[in-house]
Amino acid sequence: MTTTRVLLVDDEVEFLEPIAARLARRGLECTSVTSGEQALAALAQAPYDCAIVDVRMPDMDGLELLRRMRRMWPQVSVILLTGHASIELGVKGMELGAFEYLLKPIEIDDLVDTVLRAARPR
Amino acid sequence: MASGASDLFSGACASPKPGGLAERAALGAEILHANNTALGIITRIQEALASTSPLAAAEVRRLVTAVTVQTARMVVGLVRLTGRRNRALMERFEETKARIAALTDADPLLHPVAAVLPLDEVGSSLAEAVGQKSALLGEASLALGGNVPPGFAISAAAYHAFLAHQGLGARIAAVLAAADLGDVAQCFAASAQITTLVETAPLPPDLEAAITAAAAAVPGPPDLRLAVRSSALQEGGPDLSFAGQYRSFLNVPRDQVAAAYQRVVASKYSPEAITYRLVRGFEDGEIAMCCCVLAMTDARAAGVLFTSCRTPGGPRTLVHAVRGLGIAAVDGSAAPDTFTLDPAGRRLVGYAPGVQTTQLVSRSGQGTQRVDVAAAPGPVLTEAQAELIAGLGWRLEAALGAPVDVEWALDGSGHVAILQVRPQSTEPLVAEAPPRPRVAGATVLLEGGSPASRGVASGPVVQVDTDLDLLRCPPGSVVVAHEASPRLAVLLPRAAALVADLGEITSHLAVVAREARVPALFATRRATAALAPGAEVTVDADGGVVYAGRVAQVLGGAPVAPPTVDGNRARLAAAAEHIVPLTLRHRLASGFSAQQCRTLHDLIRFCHQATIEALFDLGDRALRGDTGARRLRSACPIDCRVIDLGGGLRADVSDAEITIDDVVCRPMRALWRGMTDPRLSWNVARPVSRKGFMSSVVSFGFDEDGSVRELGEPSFAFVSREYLSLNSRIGYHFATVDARIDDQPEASYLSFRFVGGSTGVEQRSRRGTLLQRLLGHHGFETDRRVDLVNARIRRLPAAAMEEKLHLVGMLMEFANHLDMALTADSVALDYEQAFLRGDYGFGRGAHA
Repeated sequence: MTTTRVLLVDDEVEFLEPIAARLARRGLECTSVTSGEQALAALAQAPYDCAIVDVRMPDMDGLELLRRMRRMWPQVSVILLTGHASIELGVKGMELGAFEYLLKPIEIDDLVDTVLRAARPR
Repeated sequence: MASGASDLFSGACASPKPGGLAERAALGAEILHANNTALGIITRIQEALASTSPLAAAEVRRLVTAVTVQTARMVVGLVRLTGRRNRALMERFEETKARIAALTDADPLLHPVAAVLPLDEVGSSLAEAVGQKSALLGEASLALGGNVPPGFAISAAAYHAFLAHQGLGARIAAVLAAADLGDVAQCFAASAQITTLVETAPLPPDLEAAITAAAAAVPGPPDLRLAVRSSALQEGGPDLSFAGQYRSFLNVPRDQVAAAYQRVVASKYSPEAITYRLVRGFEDGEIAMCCCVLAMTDARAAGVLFTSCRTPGGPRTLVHAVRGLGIAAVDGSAAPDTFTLDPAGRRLVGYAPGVQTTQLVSRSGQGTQRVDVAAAPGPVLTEAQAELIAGLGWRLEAALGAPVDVEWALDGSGHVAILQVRPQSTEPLVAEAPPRPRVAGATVLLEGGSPASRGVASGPVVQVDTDLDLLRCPPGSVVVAHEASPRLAVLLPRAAALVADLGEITSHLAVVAREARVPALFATRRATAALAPGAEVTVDADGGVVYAGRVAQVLGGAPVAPPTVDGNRARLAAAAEHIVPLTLRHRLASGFSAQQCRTLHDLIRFCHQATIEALFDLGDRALRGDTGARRLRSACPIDCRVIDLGGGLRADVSDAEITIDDVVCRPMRALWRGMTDPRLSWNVARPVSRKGFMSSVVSFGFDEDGSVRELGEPSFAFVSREYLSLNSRIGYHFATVDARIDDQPEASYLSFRFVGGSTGVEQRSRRGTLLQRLLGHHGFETDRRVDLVNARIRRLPAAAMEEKLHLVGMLMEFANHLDMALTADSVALDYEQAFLRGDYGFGRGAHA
């Protein structure tokens, strides 16, 4: 099979590193970036199947990144992941075309399941 | 963030209907996935409401957010799937969402907040970032201007940076994890250890610099003193007060603010604060300690005010006042003067003198000290001052739209400073019901005082004076103390009742006693003298009486265990009214209409039905020769439509009807082999023949969510080469299988869900237990609620995963026929053992 390529976007490095390591152990190919701008640059350089995006980030927030990604790379599924449950932001994310909205803390198995569903051929 | 119905089409979902059938099919699969997830969350909400274990505010918000967002996922997905903008559906969703969000949602923050913010830049929209105390003071500053002293907020971001610095947070977590916090001695030990850790840890240099710079920038003379007060997230909510649980530091020089901040953070780990979080079900990590730093007011008098207290004479505003700094009014060390005002007439209508022998004043250096109060000094406030202070409270009530409690201070020049504002507790502060009559013949040990927390209880008297007394206090005691100190809160999980000589119904301890539903009688003047240690007594807090011995007439009238509907559960219950009920069920005859949806459950049901219809539409196109949903021809009674997501069927398939040989999807083939395993050709008792189920005159059954639903609806299998998502129904049973078989074991998984049936709940539960045991025996992780069984297994090599799918296929067939047979636990056990033996003939009809 072809490896599933995941782009992880979160300004909190202490969250990013362990998640990336655990997803890699489950056979996913992970690239980590710490801002929306870096995410857009990464997407312009290499193909991804799916992006896991923190909602709350400085400068470009997760919803703005989602908005731009849906315009420029609609084939890349976006999973929003946040520690701050918010109906307004979650629903907004769905309206903007997010694949899923997940709340931290999340079991790594559940995250992997979601990534695999998001990345499957469509 | 404003969000109207029109937003539903502002983003990607406004894009035209997805062109490819495979893409539409994948969308359909995702909607059905969201349906299952949403129904699962509804079950968890019902469980949380029925449970009596503590429920954290964060958990309420997680549940409510998750179910609302999954519903949005269905609504948005359906609009994309059908390409039709169903205005009624969108409007119903937006209305329901708004009602739920108003009950539970916090203002969303899209950007992280700075470590330090000036108070006048903080408003209630930042409550999640700086804590409610700072946020509401920011609002008060806006409403009242000069009555709020200048200052700044230290945010949750600062707290997280502090804990992340040099592993402090991990060390705290390790101490908490190692202690049994319900044990008072261990709780004190853990508290001492963590307090030392926090007070001696270095602050991150940039945080320390930011705090010191902000302290230097507060307007005022160079020797200005500041108050550094806790403003924890979750603190000061309408029913989660955390009243008095954390420390404040007064009269702090500008250059000492950073050190005081550390000590406020450390106070998050006082024994009473740890206990309070434990009792209320908060995780340590859920609460970030923020701070509010204010220029110090040189208080001549201070106190608290409650804008709206119910009294027999109507709503009244109460102003409690003490001499000196305000702590004495809330820490239970003095009985304050009480000024009663009529909010309608805006005037003073009553005055009750208090008892104050000492007062707290700022020292000329740092900190505070207690000094004696002269005997009989007269009222603390003049009538005009009481009305001035109450007037500020009324303005705040108007600005915030709800009754408030306010901490205030009055300086020598007559200027009033507002130090804290929070929504007033909903609990009536003054008993409305007439006190229950005295019990004739019972010995009255103590009379009078204020009912700080209503209720009755009995137990042996334990007098508590020192921390050592706290440690020694056995469960079930009637705790008797001179001062109503917040320190006593550590005993609330175990105390039968609290009785104190001093203290007021507005004190911190009274607020938390009401939350914990522990009866409390304060301001009795002579409890420590009248109640002998060890004596069994009965406390009637409502009536203001303590009797000798156990007085059954008093206790008998009260429920043994008063219902503990805490604020979080009440909030979840209020939101659940817009989530859980299914009102569409009675309207099937006239067809579903989005207009009729009243709750999220209705919307979920509607979207599910509409998705099924849309997928039927895909099937019709297949019958017309398009690619799309194909009927799977089989001896199995399941009416299964297969939808190819890409690579799941042989490339040369062109017919609308296929056989399993046309299916390439590995999980589907393995599952099907199990469902059609020839060893299962047995014949147990069942209500109708299999054929009868599908062609039965019975045309309606009860759906898994309780609604009426047509039988004969097809099952849908979404397939790719490695992936299967099956939503199946056979008879009254519903099964979902979500599976992926990959050459890399790490990417393989199988999840299986089975629910439903036409028999009574007992037999269905028995079937649930049987399935759970068989799946568990084969290495699945399982959970069960009545007849709903969830099972998962992961990370197996392809061949092993195929075996598990084969097993699940067999179990689906097996379970479809079991309900009627499982008339007793012993029968279920026979079936279980037969299945494990590989005897799929099951005693050749022994139970038939």
